[in-house]
Amino acid sequence: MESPHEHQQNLLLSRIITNVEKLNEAVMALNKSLQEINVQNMNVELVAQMFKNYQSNVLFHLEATDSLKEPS
Amino acid sequence: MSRQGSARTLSLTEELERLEQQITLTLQEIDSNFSKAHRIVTGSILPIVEQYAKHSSDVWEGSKFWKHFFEASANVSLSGYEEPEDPTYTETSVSLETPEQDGQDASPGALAGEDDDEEFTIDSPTQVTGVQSTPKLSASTSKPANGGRKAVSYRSPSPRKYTGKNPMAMPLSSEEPSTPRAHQDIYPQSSPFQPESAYQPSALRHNNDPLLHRVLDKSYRVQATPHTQRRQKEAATKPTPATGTKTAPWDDSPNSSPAMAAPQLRSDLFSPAKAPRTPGVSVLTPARGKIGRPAPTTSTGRQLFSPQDKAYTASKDRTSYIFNDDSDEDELEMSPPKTMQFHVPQSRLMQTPAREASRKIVEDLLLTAGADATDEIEADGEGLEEASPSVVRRAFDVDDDTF
Repeated sequence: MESPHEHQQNLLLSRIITNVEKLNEAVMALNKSLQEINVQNMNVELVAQMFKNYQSNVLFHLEATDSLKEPS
Repeated sequence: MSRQGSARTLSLTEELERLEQQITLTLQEIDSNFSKAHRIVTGSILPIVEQYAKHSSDVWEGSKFWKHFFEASANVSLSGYEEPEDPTYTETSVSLETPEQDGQDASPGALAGEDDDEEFTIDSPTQVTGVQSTPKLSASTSKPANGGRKAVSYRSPSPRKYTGKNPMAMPLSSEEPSTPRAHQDIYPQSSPFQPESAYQPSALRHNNDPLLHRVLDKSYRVQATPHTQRRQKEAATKPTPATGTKTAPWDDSPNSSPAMAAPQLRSDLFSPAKAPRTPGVSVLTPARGKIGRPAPTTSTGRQLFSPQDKAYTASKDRTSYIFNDDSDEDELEMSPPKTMQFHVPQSRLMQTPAREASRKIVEDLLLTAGADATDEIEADGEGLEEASPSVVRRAFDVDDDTF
């Protein structure tokens, strides 16, 4: 005869499995969207790097040509 | 003694009961935790992430202009891509990581004499890593991207141009929705005019691209493609200048003239297949005009009205085997769909004497061959389409004599 505890535990386990499946789907969707965002942000990062390099280059150029002035 | 035993049994049962209850409680707790986690992920995290995606796309919209601006000034097109997972590549990408930082610090000194400041903004990482390969723009007309792919270091007058068209990056770059360049990158690859060798030695190419990110086991790299080179590829696929509208307007002006010249060269290379077209050949199926095809047709003209009809059909089947036509299976199986296809060539056959002759042959076949005729109708129609006019005229004469 099946004990009531076993029955209840089986039910709980099946509930847990269902919940884990749902959670897994949610996390996968989250990962997917985050990956898309990352790929999209790579372009922004490229722009940021380009600006950073441009700034350092401009700084170097101005220093080399002695035309760097303090901000007024 | 018996009381002790019963008490012990009772305690064991109680213990078991307690354990079972504990297990149940723990399982309930696990279940509630999982459901809570699911609720948190779906209820609060996902909407926030979607908002974040929206905002980051807004940021990208704002910085898109500057990316195009820098790209236009450096005459390259940049895009990040996810490097395929490979242990050898990850090692190299790790080794590239630190020099990249050094390169940014050292870039002003290393490129002191450069003409344009903004042109070597992206240049610094590769300069330090020493894997910079810059193609000569003049050579890109005849051999696009070949030199740069093979990790041979070209030193062009301006060190800002990158090669870096990685075929592995194509699918990923196409995922970037707001980058107009992604569509342009797809075209050259799918183009039949594009020599595939230009993309083949990609294995050596991976290290050329500077590393952008390294997240867990994936490394993201920057892919840079010279504009003029890409332009010519693109123009080879689509000779119309309308393709240039995908790029930013300031991209178009400096490079528009070489891009227009390229398609003529390419089309000359690939057009001669159409040049020797004979009047009898259908315009719709010029590619089927293979060398071996007319021969069975000539034999058709002779044998159709001879008692050797079956020999001809056998040879016909053999030739269709050789040339791997789509129709050969149908011919062998003599499947009913052939009769449906019969109508298409018949309408075309009505236009010239050659088609008329083939139509007569078809009628004759219908009369003589019975069920087999339906299969041969199609085959004969196609064969006569590709036959030279003299051959067709001969069949026509024979036809006239018959009737």
